[in-house]
Amino acid sequence: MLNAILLVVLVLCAMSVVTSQHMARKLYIALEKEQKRARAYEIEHGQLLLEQSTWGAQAVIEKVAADRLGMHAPVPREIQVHGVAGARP
Amino acid sequence: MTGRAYSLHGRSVPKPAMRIASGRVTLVLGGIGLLFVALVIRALYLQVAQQDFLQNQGDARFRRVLTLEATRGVIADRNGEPLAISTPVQTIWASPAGMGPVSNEQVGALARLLELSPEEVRAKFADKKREFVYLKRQISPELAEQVMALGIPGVAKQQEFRRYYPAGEMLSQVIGFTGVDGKGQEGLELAREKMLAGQSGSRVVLKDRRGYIVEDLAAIERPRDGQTLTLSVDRRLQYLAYREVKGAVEANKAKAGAAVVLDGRTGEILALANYPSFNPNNRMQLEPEMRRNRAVIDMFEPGSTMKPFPVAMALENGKARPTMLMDTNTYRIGPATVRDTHPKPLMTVTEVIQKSSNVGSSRLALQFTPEQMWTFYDAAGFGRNPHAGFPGEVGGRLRDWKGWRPIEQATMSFGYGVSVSLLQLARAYTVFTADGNLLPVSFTRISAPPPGRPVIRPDTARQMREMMTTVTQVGGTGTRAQVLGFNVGGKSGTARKLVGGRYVADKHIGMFVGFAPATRPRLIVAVMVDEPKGGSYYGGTVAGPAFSAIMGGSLRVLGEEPDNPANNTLIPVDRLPEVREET
Repeated sequence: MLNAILLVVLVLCAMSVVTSQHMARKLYIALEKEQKRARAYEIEHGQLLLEQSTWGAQAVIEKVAADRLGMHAPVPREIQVHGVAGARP
Repeated sequence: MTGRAYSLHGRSVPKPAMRIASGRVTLVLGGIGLLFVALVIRALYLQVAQQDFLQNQGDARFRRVLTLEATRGVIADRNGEPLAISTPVQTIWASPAGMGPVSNEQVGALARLLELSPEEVRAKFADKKREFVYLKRQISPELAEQVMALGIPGVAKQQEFRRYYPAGEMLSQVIGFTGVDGKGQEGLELAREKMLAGQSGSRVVLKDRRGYIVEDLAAIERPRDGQTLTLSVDRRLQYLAYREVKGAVEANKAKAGAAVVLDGRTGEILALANYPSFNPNNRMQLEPEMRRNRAVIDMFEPGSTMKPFPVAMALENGKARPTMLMDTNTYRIGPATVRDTHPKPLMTVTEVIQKSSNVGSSRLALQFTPEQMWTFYDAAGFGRNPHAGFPGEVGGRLRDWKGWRPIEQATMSFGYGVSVSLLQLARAYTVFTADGNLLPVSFTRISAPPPGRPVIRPDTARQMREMMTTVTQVGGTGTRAQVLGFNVGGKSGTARKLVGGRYVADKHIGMFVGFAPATRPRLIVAVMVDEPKGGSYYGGTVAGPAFSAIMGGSLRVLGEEPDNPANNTLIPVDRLPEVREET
């Protein structure tokens, strides 16, 4: 009788070991996947930063402003400087 | 053999089983036993003596050590804009040793995508002993997908990182660049290599037959990514400085030019531009002329931009006052003559600076012993390395005072006989902007203003600022350096260049160094134009307009409040005669 119970317990333990190892492997694979995604996002962030700074480069903006929008920086004749009332000299 | 034996009685009885000769049995059993022993010995040998070798062979089938590459640190400007950033690209490689024959159309398609000739591709595949050969390095991921889609066995892709420089040619000499192996080769990429490179990590893993990672065998060593290097440079001011230096060099048909913008209160380098320059993203044709960070590594004689220092020295020691009249007639020292091209018999000390008089500055300097003058110049940073953190930066030359003759002391007061770099010159002017203290210069952003070393009293510095403001007003040599709405103080300089040990009359360096707002200086700008050949070569004319644009634009970008709002009209410099300074 005791032998039968112990046998059942043994089988249950063995099955739980197998299940745990299987769960561990699955979780591990999921972890790998998420880490890969995180790395990909970091790289994409860098690429977007690069793209943003390329589009926002002063030289590009100046060219667009001058050529496409016909703008120019005001010449000194067009500028009048005013002080803030009560400011230090 | 069981036979039937026939005995004497005539009845057959079964004969007992024949006994095998015991010798043969022993022999066979002995032989088997020996073989068995041999097997055991072999097993023991394999398990004990060859264990390492066989274990290694087993590991080699499945165990892999993966290197986890560290990402190289970003170089950013003071506002976080990226100036140097790594981005992943693909590299196509092939393993000719394991490749079968490749059809001509596949080779053709591959060659077309990689922009190589089919013969080159065939040549790379030809060497059957090699296991690894690069086909094309650092191509875009999309192109790599197209190449892999061809499905040529033996051709694979590998991820690499490539450095991009969004600032392009504006800041190329300062940032430098990395080589194909990803290590810094020049500029700050080289100087800060350890900080930017980080450290790669590693993983020990078990891979299954298909190459998937199944298990980690040891603790993962995480890679340490490179740190972000935050420069003191402001990208907007840098653009302004570069644009103006380029314009000044082209307008004056000069050989080269450079500009430095310093924060007058903290010594941070807000912009540093050199021309000619190069695009670090495309270094196909790179001449050494373009790579020089002239503002930091080139030395020149500063000419009249030195004059404020003997004047400050005299003021500090009570030997002069701004309104004091001086005899500025031509005079002799031994066999040499010190003269002004436009001599005036009497000038105030302020006019000495405004009109840039050689006689005036040298008379003030000669009131001191060589040792006193050397100590003052040394305190102002001349002859000393500025230690800004750039590889190859120079400290200029200030000769030991023991070897000075009186004529040399005189010429050093108007900037000949001493060598400086543009950065050093700009730094020396912090004496006037930071209440008499010489500030350290820095390429990286700093959080708290550094203490600085006292050179003159704050009051002397204020008097000097007032005197130098007259340079950009009517009658001064730097009217082109004026900025609308601001008081600008500074000094122009025109120095003849030495060629083969002799001063030549047709090669000059035109400079302007100044600060604004003069009443509470925020920025120091120093502009240098090397060998202007477009007519005038005077510093006020060739460097003044660039100074004005850089200073005016920078103050506006930084939102600095104008300190002379009543000054709403620019002096019409084109209609006034040029005030030529002494060279």
